[in-house]
Amino acid sequence: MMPMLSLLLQVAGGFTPDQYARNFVFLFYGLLTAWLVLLGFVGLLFARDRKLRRELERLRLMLEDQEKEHSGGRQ
Amino acid sequence: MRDKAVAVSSWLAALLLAGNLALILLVFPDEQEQGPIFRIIFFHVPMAWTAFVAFFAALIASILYLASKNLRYDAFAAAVTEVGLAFGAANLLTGMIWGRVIWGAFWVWDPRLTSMLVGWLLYAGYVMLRRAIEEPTERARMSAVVSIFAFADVPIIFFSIQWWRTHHPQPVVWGSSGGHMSPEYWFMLFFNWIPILLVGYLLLELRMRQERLSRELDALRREAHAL
Repeated sequence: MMPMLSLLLQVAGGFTPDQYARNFVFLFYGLLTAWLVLLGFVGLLFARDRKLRRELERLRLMLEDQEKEHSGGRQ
Repeated sequence: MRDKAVAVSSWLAALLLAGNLALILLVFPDEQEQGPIFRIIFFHVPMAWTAFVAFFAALIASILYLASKNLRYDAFAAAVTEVGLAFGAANLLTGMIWGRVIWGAFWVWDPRLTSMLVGWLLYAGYVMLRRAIEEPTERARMSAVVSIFAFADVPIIFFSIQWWRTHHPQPVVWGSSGGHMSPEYWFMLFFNWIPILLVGYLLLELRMRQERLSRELDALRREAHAL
């Protein structure tokens, strides 16, 4: 990691090592934030998916119970 | 077929993203004046393009819904708008982080930034509106109108840097100053758009699955009411 960092520091034009490192850290934050937003969205989608499936299951059971009651009543 | 497309897209997106990230971080030299932070452009710009493509798709789907009253178009518009919002948020945040280094502030009330924020809020309003209306056809009609109205902001975002004096850099791909970017950077910008578009497609597939579940749920609710 260190040789790569020192190589990058040599490449940097008019930056002090501190400025360069800070600049690089912000690049890291930028990339991290972009993917965290998308990952957060994926998390939200999965949570909503689970909620919808639970709701579907609950409704299916409720309908089955009601149908049983109806058919029981008719007999 | 759909599952196969999703699997192929996932692998392709992962491979391209990993390869591109290595190229962007290790092979591409720093920009002379901005330093390493310049590399954020390879994500910031394609994410904005992806958001615009999503909002355009939502516009078309909304028009088609109003013309045909087919709820499948409404479901697609809702799904693609949310994907656009996610990419829009990523674009705004990466821009803010770049701005902190280059301008010394996370936010300036610049026409490009402000119009993008307004657009994002308009589409967020669209999502909130959908939650507020229970009846599916009424929800679809109202949200189609809002989606068409919200799209009016997209050309403003796009051309704001040419119409007004802004802090935001001038266009890097089109316009009179578009030639400033060297061909390698230009190529990388487009090449990195491919995996980002693929990620957008995958998110859309995930979100569309929910729309199918919601339709099933609506049908069951109607059945439950009828009993």
